[in-house]
Amino acid sequence: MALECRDVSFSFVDNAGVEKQILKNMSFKLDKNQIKLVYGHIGAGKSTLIYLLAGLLDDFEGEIDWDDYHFTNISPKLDKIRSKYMSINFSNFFYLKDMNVEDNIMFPAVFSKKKKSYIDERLEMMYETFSDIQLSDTEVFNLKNFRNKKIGTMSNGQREIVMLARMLMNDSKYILADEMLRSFNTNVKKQMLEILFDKFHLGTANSALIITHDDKMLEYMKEYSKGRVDITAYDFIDKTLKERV
Amino acid sequence: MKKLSFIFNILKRRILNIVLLSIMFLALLLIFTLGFSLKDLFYEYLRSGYGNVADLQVKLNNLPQKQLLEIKKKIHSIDKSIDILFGYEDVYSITITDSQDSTLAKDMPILVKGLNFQKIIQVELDGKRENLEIESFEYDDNLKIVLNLNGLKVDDKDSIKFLTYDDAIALDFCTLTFLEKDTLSIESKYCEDDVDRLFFKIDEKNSKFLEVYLDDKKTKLKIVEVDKLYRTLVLQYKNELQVKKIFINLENIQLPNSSVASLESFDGELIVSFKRDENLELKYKRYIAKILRNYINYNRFVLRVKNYAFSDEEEYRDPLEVMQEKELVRLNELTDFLDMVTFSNGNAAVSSSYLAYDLNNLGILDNFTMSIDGVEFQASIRSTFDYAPERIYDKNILIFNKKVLENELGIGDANNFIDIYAQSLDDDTLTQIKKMLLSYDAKAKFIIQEEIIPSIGPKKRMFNIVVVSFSLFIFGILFIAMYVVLRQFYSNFESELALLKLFGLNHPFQTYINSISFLISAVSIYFVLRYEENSINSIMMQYFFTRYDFDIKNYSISLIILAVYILIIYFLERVSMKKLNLIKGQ
Repeated sequence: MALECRDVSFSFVDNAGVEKQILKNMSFKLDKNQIKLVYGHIGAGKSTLIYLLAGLLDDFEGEIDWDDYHFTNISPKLDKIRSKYMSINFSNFFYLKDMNVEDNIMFPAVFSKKKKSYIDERLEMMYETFSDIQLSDTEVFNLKNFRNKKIGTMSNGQREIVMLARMLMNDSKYILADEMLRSFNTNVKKQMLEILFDKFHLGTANSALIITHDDKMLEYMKEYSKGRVDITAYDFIDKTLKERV
Repeated sequence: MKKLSFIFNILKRRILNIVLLSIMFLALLLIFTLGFSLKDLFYEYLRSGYGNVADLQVKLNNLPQKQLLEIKKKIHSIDKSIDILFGYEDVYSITITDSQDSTLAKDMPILVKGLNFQKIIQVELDGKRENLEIESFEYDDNLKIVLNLNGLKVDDKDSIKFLTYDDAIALDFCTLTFLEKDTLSIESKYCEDDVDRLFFKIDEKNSKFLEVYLDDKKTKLKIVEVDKLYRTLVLQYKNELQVKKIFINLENIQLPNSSVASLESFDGELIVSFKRDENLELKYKRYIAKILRNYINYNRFVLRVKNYAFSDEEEYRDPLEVMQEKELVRLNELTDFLDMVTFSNGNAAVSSSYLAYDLNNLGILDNFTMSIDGVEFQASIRSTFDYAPERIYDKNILIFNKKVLENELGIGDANNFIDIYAQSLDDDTLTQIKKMLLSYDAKAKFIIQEEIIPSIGPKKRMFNIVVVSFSLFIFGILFIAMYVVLRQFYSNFESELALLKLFGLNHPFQTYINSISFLISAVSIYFVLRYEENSINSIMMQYFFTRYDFDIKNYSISLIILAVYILIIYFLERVSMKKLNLIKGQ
């Protein structure tokens, strides 16, 4: 039971009409209670890996498994069952810009047919957890205070906290996070990791694939997971993943 | 609920689009439904122009009335919408002489058809539907139908509605209703125009003077004479200056110079002749013709002249005779129709497409004698319907004595005919009807409409092509418009829709919007057409001199066309949904 891709290749034709290979015969497995960090230069194929694992890219070669659900190309069924398996945090967020913060946080839960009591309870937990975040020496962030604010009017940092809350709303088995915590300074980053590991048990209650550019992320994660979690780092080399030794 | 509120929030920017779509569907449904009905109306119009020629005429021998009724029932079981006229027919010859006993037409073979019509009009009295028998029927310049109340009491005079079967007659053109102790009468006449009203006002006030503007100068002139019949007003005018323009304004009645036919000053008098509102008169006549044709189910005979010849007894050949000869050649090429309406006052009106018109043209006076199989009838020409543009009733009227005519013709059951009128008679139905009729009479003879009027087929086909092309054109325009809307929807909302898709909500929203708009339109149009049928009929009668019948079949065809269209859009939407891309959308 894992999130897995085998012998996956993916290429696309760019605007100039040239075919670009992004992934080549790549295999990757995210097992139970694992955190896998993926590093790579811009354009290496890190985000493509997330889209591919999430079943959002068409025309790939190879096989993908979501636990016991196996597929070799995308279909409308994937849209129906995706939220049962995973939560995704995109690097450029993707939110419903006309809606307020609360709607944006809760809508994955609403469309995953969660009970109202679950949604209310979980929402309250989010407000409670993401409170008193020390953004700077003078500025403190409380998610609840922004609940009715249109998300489009918020700063990038504030927006990322909302996106984190949305990612955690469904309590999914797998978390796919692209460039997670990229909008925060070290201080906020650490507060967030503390929340993720202590409150949401990242890597123990779930598994996570985290794409990052931050060289210190592995170090921070190991520090805040307090050695309780199996964390492995990978590098994108020659269109495939190589475990960092 | 929360899910719905999400969807609503996403779609709320599309509200205007939804409203526009509903209006578009509404308009289309109306166009299609009325369009299909127009097709039926056109067919009826075509038929009316050819003296009511049936789609299928069947000649049968010696069938009793009872069997004819049985046949009628069987035909209706094959197709309910088929109209049937049946009765008896025979051929007689008629000779026409003028008042000086000169023979005008000799031994004209005429086909006499006696039709079995109902004599009932359905009326709504105090909210209840009642079938009332026509007691008398008069038709001259005005139409008057007297119905027997059979002892029924009417409390609310304003509640009276005239219906036939389940439809209401749209009565207008100054229709008056008279409720008396035992009878209820409908009387129609044409509405007065401003000239009539001016003369009435002068009469009523016994005015001696009239204030007029002559070439824009106000003056008061003495009234010398008012001639209502010739619509002429004579005013005292001693000035020698010729008048070019006149304007009359009397208590809200304004008659501008454009309503004046002629303006002359002569011998100290100014003679103003006013134009007749021929359009109004024409409309009225067509309206009456329509009522006569559709709603007065009264005993009627159709006399069909096969060939007729003018007498050649007179030696002297004058220009009139030369004209007669020319006419003879033309008339012998024609199959003339004589349409006769019998009235309870003992007269029968015969309307003819050519006969009376020709008699008039050839200088025949109003009264003449008509001899049918040796029995003479006094006839007089009523030139009421001699307007060239008339299609439905472009006939002059001859009046006969009904009782003598009926008795002498001695119409019996000897020869039967069945005329079948259908909106469309397909080969299968035709075969079924023929087979059934042959089982009654082995010698049954069938004549289809196109054998009598060869031009009617191409005309119908041409009209069908126009209707189909127009429908396809409208359909095409709508399709392009909707495709643009669909593309816009998917490009404007790609990120939102893709995000929803990511969380499992992958629905064809545009098709939902289309379906909702379609349902709203379908229901509202149904109620408008069904419950405002009377109002629509009034408008149709007023402007098109025909009625609109709500036909569930036409309505259903329109619905099916639009549903097919929604289905096509749905398949296109499925393609757009498949291409939704979160990365591209953002």
